[in-house]
Amino acid sequence: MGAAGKALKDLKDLGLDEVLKKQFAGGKPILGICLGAQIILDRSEENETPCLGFIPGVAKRFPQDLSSSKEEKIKIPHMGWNSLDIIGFHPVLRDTTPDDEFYFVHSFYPSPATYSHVLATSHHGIRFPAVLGSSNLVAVQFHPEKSGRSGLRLLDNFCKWDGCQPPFMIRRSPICSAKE
Amino acid sequence: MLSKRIIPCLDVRNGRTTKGIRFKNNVDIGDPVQMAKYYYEQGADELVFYDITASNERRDIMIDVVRGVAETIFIPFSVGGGIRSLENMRSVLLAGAEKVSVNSAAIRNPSILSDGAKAFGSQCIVLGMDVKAVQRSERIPSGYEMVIDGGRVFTGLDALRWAIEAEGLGAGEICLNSIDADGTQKGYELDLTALISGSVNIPVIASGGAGSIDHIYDVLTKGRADAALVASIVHYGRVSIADIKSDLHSRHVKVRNKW
Repeated sequence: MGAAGKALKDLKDLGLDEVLKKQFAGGKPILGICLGAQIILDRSEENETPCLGFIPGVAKRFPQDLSSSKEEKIKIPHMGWNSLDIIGFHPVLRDTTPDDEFYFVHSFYPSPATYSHVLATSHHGIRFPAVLGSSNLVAVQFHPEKSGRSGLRLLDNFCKWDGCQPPFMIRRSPICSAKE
Repeated sequence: MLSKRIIPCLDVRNGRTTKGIRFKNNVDIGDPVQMAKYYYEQGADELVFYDITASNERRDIMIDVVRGVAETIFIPFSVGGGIRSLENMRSVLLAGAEKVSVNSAAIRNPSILSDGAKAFGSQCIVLGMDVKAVQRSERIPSGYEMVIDGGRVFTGLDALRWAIEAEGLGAGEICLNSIDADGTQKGYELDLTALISGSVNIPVIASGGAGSIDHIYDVLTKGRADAALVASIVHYGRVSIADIKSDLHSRHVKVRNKW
C-alpha cells in the first residue's frame, strides 16, 4: 500500500529492488499485491516513477468522470468488492469462478504492454487488468488477504505453486477500456 | 462492477461489545473478536468498530481488540471513536485495521485528515459525519448541520460543505450518520444520503435508521449510498446478513453472494 514514488524509494534505500530483481531472474515464485501489481511494470503515472520493469507496461490512473451504464457516477478510488473475468488459466487462479469477489482499493491500475500478460480483468467504469502473470511472477491488483475465503484460496494456491508457468494457457483476448 | 457493501457496526466499551442479544451458536456476544468472526462467516463485507470507552486506558484495550480481530477475520475493518492524532491512527493501523474513522477530531482540527492521508494514504482515512436536519440558512445552505459529542453540540458547519472540504483534504470515504434517523429503525435519511453521495467523488456509507431490508434497499438505490451500515437490525437477530443479501440480489442490487 502507498504511493509508487515512495515505495520505489523505500525499496532502493533498503536494497530490496536488487533482491527482487535477482529472485525474479532466479525463478522464485513472486506474488505482487495492490501497489505490488503496479511497480512490477516499467513505470507508474503516479509521481512519474520508473519501476522494476518485470513486465513491460505502465500503471495508469483511472480516468476522471467515468459513469456507469446506469448513468451513476463512478467513484475513484475503486474501493470495495468486485469480480474477475478470467481470461488465462493459471495455477494461482485455480477454483476461482465468476462468483468470487475480491477486495480492491486503488486509484491506479496496471496496464501491461501486451495482453499476453493479462490473466484476469475486472470492471469499474472501464475494464482493466486485475491479475497479471509472467513466468514465476503473479500480480493481483486486489487484496487477497482481505478477500475472505476467495482470497485465502488464492494465497493457498500461490503457496503450492512451483513458479512454473503452465505449459499452455487457454486464452481469449480481453477487451480493455471498453465501456460496458 | 462494484458490489454494494453491507457493514455491521459494533460498539465496543472497555474491550467488550455492547449490543447483540439473540445470538445462537455459542457466540459470546460480549467478545468483539467472536462477534467479528460471526459476521465474517455470515458474509459481512466489512466491519466497523466504534470505541465508546470513556476512560484513559482506552487505547491499549482497543489495540488488543484490533489485533485479535485482524488475526481472526480476512475482510477489511475500520476503527473509530477517540482517534485524535496521527499517533492514534498509526497504532490502530499497525494493529491490523484497514481504516480509521475520525469524526469530532476532524472538525476541531481538519489537518488531521490531510496529515493522515499523507502519512497512510486516503484509502484508510474515513470521515465520520454526524448530521442533523436544520432550517436552511445562509450559514447552513444545505439544511444539514454537523453535530458532535453524540449530537448534543451544533458546530455551525454545513454538512455538504464539510463533506466536499474533507474530500479535498484527503478523506477516502465518508461514513454518514443521520442523528435524526439513528435508533429510530424507520429508515435511513435518504435525501441527506443522496445529497452527499451525489456531491462527492468518494464512497459514502449510509448510517442510522435501518429497521428493515426495504430500508437498506432504499438507501442503496434512491439514497445512492455505496454501502449500508447495519447495527440493531442484525445484532438482535431479526434478519441475517445472508437474508439482506439474497433479498437485495433478487431486486437486482449487486452484492457479494459467495463467501
